[in-house]
Formats: sequence, C-alpha cells, structure tokens
Amino acid sequence: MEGCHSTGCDPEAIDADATLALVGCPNVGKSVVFGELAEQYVDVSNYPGTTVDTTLAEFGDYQLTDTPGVYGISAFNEEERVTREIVLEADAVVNVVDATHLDRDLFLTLQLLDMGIPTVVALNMMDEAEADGIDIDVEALESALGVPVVPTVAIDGEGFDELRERIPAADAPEETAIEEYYDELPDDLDVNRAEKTLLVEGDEPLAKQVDVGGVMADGGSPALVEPGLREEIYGQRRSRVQSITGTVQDVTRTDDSLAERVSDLMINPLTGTPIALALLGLIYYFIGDLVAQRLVDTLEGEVIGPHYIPAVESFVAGLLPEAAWIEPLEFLLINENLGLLTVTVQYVIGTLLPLVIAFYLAISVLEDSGVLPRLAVLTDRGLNRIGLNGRAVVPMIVGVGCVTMAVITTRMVGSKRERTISTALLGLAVPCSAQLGVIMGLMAGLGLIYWFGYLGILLVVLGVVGLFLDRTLPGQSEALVTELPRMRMPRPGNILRKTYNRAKMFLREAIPLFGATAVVVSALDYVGGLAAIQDGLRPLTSLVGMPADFGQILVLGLIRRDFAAAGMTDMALSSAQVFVGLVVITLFVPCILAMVMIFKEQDAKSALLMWVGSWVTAFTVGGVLAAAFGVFG
Amino acid sequence: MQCPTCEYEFDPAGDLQCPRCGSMLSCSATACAECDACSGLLEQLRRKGKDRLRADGGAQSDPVESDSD
Repeated sequence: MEGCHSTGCDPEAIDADATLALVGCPNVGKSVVFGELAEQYVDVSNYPGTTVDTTLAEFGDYQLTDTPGVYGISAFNEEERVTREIVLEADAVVNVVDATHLDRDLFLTLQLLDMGIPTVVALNMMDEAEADGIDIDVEALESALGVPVVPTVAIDGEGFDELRERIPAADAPEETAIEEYYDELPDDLDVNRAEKTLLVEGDEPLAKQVDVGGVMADGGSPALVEPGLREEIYGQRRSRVQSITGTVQDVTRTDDSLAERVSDLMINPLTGTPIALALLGLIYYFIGDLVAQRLVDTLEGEVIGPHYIPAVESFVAGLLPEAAWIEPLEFLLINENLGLLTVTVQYVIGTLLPLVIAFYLAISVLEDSGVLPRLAVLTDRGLNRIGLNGRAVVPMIVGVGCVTMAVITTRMVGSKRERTISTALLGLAVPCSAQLGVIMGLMAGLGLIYWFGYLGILLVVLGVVGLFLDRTLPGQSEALVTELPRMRMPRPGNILRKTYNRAKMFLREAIPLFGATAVVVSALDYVGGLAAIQDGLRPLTSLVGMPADFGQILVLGLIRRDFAAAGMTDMALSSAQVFVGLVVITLFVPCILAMVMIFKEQDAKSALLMWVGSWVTAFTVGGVLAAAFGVFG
Repeated sequence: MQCPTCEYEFDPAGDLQCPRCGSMLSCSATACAECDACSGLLEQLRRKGKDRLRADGGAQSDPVESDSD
C-alpha cells in the first residue's frame, strides 16, 4: 500500500471509493495508527506537532488521510484549518483518543458527532492508562457516545484487527445536544449538519462562504449568530465531556512514577538547569567529540584521505586523455580545494554523513523520550530575550556540531521570524565542531584567559545581534505553546527507522546542492577568481591587524571554516594576533555549504544580508579587538 | 486569554479551565494582566496561594487536572 505526502502526491493515484480521515489531538498516536492501518512507516515522535502536513495512503476501499493534531474542528491556526477541510470532505473518521486524557480528547469526539461525521473511536494508549490507574469502561463509553469504540495500544499493534473490522460501522447519532442551537441560524441556509454545527460555533471561513446578504462597515459579512454563542456551546460540550468522563472512567490515585518525578525535576529551573547542562554536554560529547572529531578524523585521515582520494585521482588521471583542453575538467573533478570527486565526496560522506546520522540519533532519542519539549520549556525565558523561543535550543546545540546541519533544524523553531534570527546567529557566532577543534588547539598555546575571552566575545555578539534582530525584524516572535508529552523509554526500532529515513532525505536534498557548489567554486578557482579575492581583501586584513597572508585564510574560510582555522596554525603570529584572527574567522561568513543551505532554507535576500552582516560583524569586532590589543598588520 | 495548551482564546472570568481542551490554567504560568478570572486582589492572592500549595503537593488537585503533565 503506497503512501505519500499530500504536497508531493496525486491523490487520484489512490484507487479508493471513500475517504477516511484520522483525527485526534496532538501526540495521541495518530501517525502510529496510520502506519498500522496503511502498513507503512510514518515519522513518529513523542512530541506534539510531528505531523505538519497531511499524509495519504490506500487502506482497503478507503483513501486514508493522516491529519495534523488538533483540539477541535475550527480554524484558529493552520493545522486546524487543514484538518477542518479534510474532515468536512471525509466520508468517515477514525478519532484517535488518548485514554490517559479522556477529559481533553472527548471534546473533539463530541464535536465530530455533533457535526454528524460517521466516526469510530480508537481509544489509544490503554497500557499507559492502566499504568496510571485509569480504568475505562469501554462498553459504557461506546453506549454514551453511540459509536464504535475500540481500545488500542498502537505502538504494540494491539486492537487493530478489531479496529479494521469496525471501521465500516462508523456512525454518528441522529441527533445530539447541538440541535437546539441550529434555530439560531437563518431558516433559508442551504448547509449540511456539519456546516450548521460549525456556523453556530462562529466558524469564520464558513460564515464568509455562506452568502446571507448585506455587508458590514468593515467590508466583512454580518455575523450569522449572536456573539458569545460559541462560548456557550463549548461550555455545554465541556459539561457533556465531564459527565461522560465521570461515568465511564474510574481513577485510582497512584504514586508519581519515576518518569513524572524526572519530568518535574527537568522543568524546575533549579534542578532542570544542571540536568539540561549535563544533557547538552553529553550531546556535545557525542556529536562534537566522539563523532565530529574522532569518527570523522578516522574516516577522513585513515580511510578517505590515504585510500579513497589517491585512488580517485589516479583513476581520473588514467581515464582522461593527456591534453591541455582536458585540464579544466580534471581540475573540476579532483582539485584539492573542492574537487567534485575528491574533497566534496570526502566532505559529504566522511564529514557530513556521520554528523547527520549522529544528530538524528541524538535528536530522536530526545524527542521520543519527551526530553526535548522539556529542554525547550526550560530555556524558553532566556531565548525570549533575543527574539527566540525554547525550541531554538536544538539548532544552537546542533550548530556546535555542524552549522550546515543546524540550518536545516531551524525548521522546528516556529515562525519565519524565529528561523531568520536563529539562522543568522548560527551563521555568525556559532563555531562548528571541526573549526572549534582547531581553535581549541591554537588557544591551548595562549592560555585559559584567552579561551574564556573568546567564549565571552561570542556570547556578547550572540546577545547583541539577537537583540538587534529582535528589535528590527517585523512581527513578533511566537510564544512557546507546547503541551508536555509523557516521558517514555524510547523504542530503538523507531529511533533507527527515523534516523535512517531522515538521513536518507537529507542526503537526497544535499548531494545535488553540494555537487553544484563544488563545480562553481572550482571553476572560480581555476580562472583565478579566488586569488583575486585574496588580493582584494588586503585593506580588511590590515584593519584587524593581520598580515597579508591572512587574506588566504579568509578565502579558505569562505569555503570551509575549519580550513581557515587550520591555515592559521602555519602562520607566524603574536598571541594577540592569533586571538584576534580566531575571533575574526569565527564571526566570518559560514562555510560555503552552510551558505548553500541558508539560501535554500531562507529567501535569497535574507541569506545575502546574513552573509554581508557576517563580514561587517567580523571586521568590526576584529578591528575593535586589534585596536584594544594594539596590533597592526 | 489564550489557552497555553490548545491556543483557544477564551474569557477566563470565574473559571480557569479552558472550555475546549479542559486544561486547568495555572496562576504560576499565567500573568494576572492577561487574565480576569479574579474579582479582586484578595481573590488573586487566594488563587496564587492555592496554586502554589498544589504545586508543592500541599493541597488536593481540582477535579480536572492540568494536561501539562
């Protein structure tokens, strides 16, 4: 059974007689249910909002649609608008309900039934409800709702035979308590029951579609129902939810589980901060040291460097005829700066791939365990000061591993505004681990005070630039609205599958981009463009008190950040010059591959501004430091 | 005010429970300026005290628990 995201798939390709939508609150296991019914893998996390667009698949005679998690069928945000559209078009719905949050989830169930949508309830996470001392009388719930209710433990595949059997029996009561409000609508409205329900609840998009004549002074349509009716209907529905919950659910108080105690410790700033620091340290050790330094060093220094590159060089040299006209092609393929078959492959396979896999492994564990949203809550207040919210902590950590990778992870931080701020800060003042390794080696010769000075300058730049962007960019940053999911032991199978799928998707996107970049940079190098850039940089190197050779370091830095840091190891410089030079190359532009990603993830204008901004910041800070230290180029 | 769980905009006068998702709002997570559930300063102090006691485990929870577990 083939599945596809709606953005990239033709729903007509699915041979189905009817449509079936999976609907439920965030993080109730809809995607796992989807995977079980459609018999295919969907990216699943213990984190609200994993499904951000719809996914389609064939399930028997149905076209099955996975929808973003919502708390109600309305149009208060983008996820709700998407789900609302699908529900209004669906022939039937499987409403996935979290058995541990019956009181929360039955609001949506009752709303679907008020709308007359044929529904089957999948009462999921029954195992966790049992562990929490929650006993649900499934038959009583089925009787109270008037539709089939099937207990499931989706993650273990339990209850799906019965769910498959009962989906054709999806139903809705003939009448519900909402009927009394339909009288509030004009008599001559030609709408169905679902639309009537949404209209009495004050659904704005639908009210605009329904032509009742007349135009308000502000150009809008007149309201179909009295203001405040929605509050009354929601209040009444909530009372019905509480009545049903009180009847079918019996809760035996249990002691706080270990997971709950850990969760409490993590979101309390006093205990959560050291735990978060320890976790960040662990992630840094795993990605920044174990993988970025040791594994990558081994791959580059002992496998690709001595074996792969010479083999490719001799293969290409043997393959191509010895002629002057072939020289440019040979240069493009195997030059030592960014040869398409040599350094580019080394970078993608030897450096980026291990980092990508390590990152996805780490982030999957954090997601599935429920740690990630707690880290976001904890760091939210501090990041708010620079226009970000708690979700931005992840790209910042990842950026220390690899800025290119981190630029992609800014997708999770929220609005375009926050993505722009976090991307700009990443490109400017977060050194990648490869560069940091070389910088730490050079700093070791200067002493600890320089090391702290270096970190202090980066933090000040991060704060000042963050504040500046927060004040100047239009709009307001999104608040961190997240429901804390339960803490769980991550499932290795899901972690590995998720890592594999995400790494595959990353490589599919990145390889063509990196290949094209390598060709362009190599061509520029061949025609002497890079050397010309080096000469043109002389005024700037003087400004920061560095010798003319520093221009070559900057050119290397344009291509790859660690190349620049490594290049400084061979230069005869004073301690102050080493310090100033390292600050400048850290604040200098992101490496070319990170820039390619920034162009892809942001619009061209923002990316260009970030690039130019990095030049300005690097040489302004460098100039001030050079003047303070009294160094002259 | 906006419910921190489901983002539903509602008037919390008299009750701190979101009518849509059922979340019980916490005084420690909500600024008084964004909320007019209390009739006066004493009510605010009483609610804040009750909320703090509940967080410390010193008082029984309301019938409907917060969803932010």
